[in-house]
Amino acid sequence: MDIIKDLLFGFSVATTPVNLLYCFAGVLVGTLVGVLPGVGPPAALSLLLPVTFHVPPVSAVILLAGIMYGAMYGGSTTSILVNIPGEAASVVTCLDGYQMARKGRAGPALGISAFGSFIAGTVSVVLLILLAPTLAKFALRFGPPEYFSLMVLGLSILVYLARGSIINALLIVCLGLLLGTVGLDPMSGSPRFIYKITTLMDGIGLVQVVIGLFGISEVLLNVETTFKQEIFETKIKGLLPNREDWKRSIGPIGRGTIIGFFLGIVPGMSVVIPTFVSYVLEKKLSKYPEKFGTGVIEGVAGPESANNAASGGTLVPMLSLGIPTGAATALLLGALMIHGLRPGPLLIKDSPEVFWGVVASLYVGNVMLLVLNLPLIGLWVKILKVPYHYLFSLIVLFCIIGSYVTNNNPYDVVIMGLFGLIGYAMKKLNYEAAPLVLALVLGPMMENALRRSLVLSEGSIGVFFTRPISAFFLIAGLLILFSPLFLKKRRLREDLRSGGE
Amino acid sequence: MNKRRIQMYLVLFLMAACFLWAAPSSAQDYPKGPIQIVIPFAPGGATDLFWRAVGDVLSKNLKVTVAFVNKAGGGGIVGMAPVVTSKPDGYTLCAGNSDTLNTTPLFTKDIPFDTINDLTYICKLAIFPQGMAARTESPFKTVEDVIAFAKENPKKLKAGVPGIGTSPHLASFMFNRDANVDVTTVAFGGGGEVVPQILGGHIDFAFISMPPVKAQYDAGKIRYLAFFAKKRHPLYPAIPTAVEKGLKRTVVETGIGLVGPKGLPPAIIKRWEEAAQQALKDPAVIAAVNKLDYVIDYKSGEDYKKEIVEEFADFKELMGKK
Repeated sequence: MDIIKDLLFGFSVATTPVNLLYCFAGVLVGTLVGVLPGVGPPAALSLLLPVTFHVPPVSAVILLAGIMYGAMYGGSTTSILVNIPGEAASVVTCLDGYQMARKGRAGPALGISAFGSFIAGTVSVVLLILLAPTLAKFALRFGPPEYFSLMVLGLSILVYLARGSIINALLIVCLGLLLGTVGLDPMSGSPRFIYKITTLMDGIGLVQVVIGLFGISEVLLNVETTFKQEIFETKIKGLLPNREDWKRSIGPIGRGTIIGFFLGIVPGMSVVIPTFVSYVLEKKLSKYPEKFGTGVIEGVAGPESANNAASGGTLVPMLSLGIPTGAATALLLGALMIHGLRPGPLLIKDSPEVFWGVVASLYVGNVMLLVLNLPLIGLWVKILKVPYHYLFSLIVLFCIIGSYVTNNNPYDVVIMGLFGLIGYAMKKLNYEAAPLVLALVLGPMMENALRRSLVLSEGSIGVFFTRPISAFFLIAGLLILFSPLFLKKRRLREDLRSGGE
Repeated sequence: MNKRRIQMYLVLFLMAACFLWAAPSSAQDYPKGPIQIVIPFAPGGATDLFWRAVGDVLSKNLKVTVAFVNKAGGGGIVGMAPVVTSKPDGYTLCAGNSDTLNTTPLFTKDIPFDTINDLTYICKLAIFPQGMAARTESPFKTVEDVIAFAKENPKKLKAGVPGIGTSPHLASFMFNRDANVDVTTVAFGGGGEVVPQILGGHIDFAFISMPPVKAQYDAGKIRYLAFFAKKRHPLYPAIPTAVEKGLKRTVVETGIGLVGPKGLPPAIIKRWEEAAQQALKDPAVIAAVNKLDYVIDYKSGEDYKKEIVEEFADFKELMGKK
């Protein structure tokens, strides 16, 4: 078995004391970056990039990769505790994670997301080793038409994301798609809905929308009610998931891992989309879909596994094709290039110690993260005991910092504040915020894919149906959209009743 | 009682901390405090990597911290706008890139400042030429192949570019003009998105610089047909230029330089010109710059501005004709 021999060689590289230290530093910084809302992996990576010029290439990449997947562990923390997603990839975690915390089950929620992340992280490394070359080739078959159909599939699952009425969810989706059109037209460069505001040239920032909709609006809601903090104080039951939690979570973790990994390898697919897909799938498979959104552990376990597996998946195009799938992987690629390495098909042959060293360090890093995160749960849960007049001020402070640092642009803070008000109004009127976030992610991608496809096909719509992968996605999307019509009457009635709540 | 006092001290301390950052403003003893350089692009892009590669040496030469801040958006306009209105004291500068200075204004309306007259040009450090690439399986082995096919099949060829208003997008117009063909361009979101489209054969070829396709070029999966440069690339002497192929004016060498707000004192410009020249002689910088495929091309502030203005006039004429 060559792979095992190579992997052992990788471990011999990754477990030298120096590399262990770099790995630990990476995952520690990553966890912190993940916990702080808005401070994403790219910011931390670009700050540390010059530092890595002076260390051997393997150590450099181990450090930087550690930051990347460490952030996925940390991202769930604030989602669960205070309803602010640390990263856009943790938006879905808010839905049930925060509700669990309000019921005094913050510990199990944090615990299952750490374990789920660990399992997903480890499994995706195995998949990465076994399937990287094959998968990379498959990913190349994604031209603009395939992307478009995949987005259609993505949008059609939105219907299931809604807890309340489907009409309301669709309204919010339309709002999200509209907001997604703000900015310079991607195909002609002409300004759309910018009103000469420079900040809007690149569209409305996802991070600002997410922090406003979830964080600020939650603070506003809580400030107006005389909230009984005793709920948090007295009823913190258990810090770790119990046997029942495990039984319910193991399926979602497995499915989340698979979904995350395979969607992660498609270049340009963000880490956000797999989390939504996983959540919707769990809701669909569940015996009690109506309980989703009220604090069920499956709603945390699935998406949190999906985002970790996806960040493993994004390494496939990077390591095997030399193609960055986002700012974080672009920086990782830059680090490799500055060290004179050639990421891409030649990496395994030219510098096996780098490739296998990094792969082995992913295992080592995942173990470290688990060890690091489990004891932290006790500490995080204590944060909930901080009196509200301090806690809320801190939350607002972190919202402001988080929305500022993504682009170091003060106007982004204004946008975040506006979305805080919008989020507040939406909560008052019983509209869900999560579909808006997904629509905002999907909208611009879908528009780009559609317009590029039509340029390539010289205006013919047939291109979406004649290409097999694209046709498959379209049909799957339509089936999902219309499947409620074919469901048994009893189930339908239940759906309607829960929708009326 | 103590709690209140501690709070008081904390507030005083924080207020004092705010003023620590106020930079001294005399041009003679420049630089005295940390210098902020805005990189108006996302981390990991060509401009960003260049500055991070030379940043340490610049800090050493100037004996102060040179801090880089990414403010991405609108082809560099979003990040450059606040620099234009900042105080011309040399402590807030911007990484200028030909894309932002003389290409984006051709494609984007409503830019809130004049990229020529509202800026001080400090110096130019390097270039990376644009060019065209196709996958190895493609029937296009040379520039002539592309031109011949395009002439026989007007509008049939589809070429990817990394985005509207970028240097490679501009290059596509030059190619169409000089070769007298009509290749359709499809804009993607950055070089990283174009590469899989070339490899998958979804586009016929792409207008793109070398760095994003390098991994695949080295592996023999992508063929680089030509550089749109005045002379052959020193690191790739085997790849021809478009000029050699008879496309006399197809030259797009994206320049990386430094700009600041209007009215920057000459002493500060001079200090930077020295620091940049010194940095570009540093062996560590030369090695890093070569590995990232840039070509060192130093120009003083005056020459840099002259070049940008000349190119801009040429580009405007090109776009006007279309």
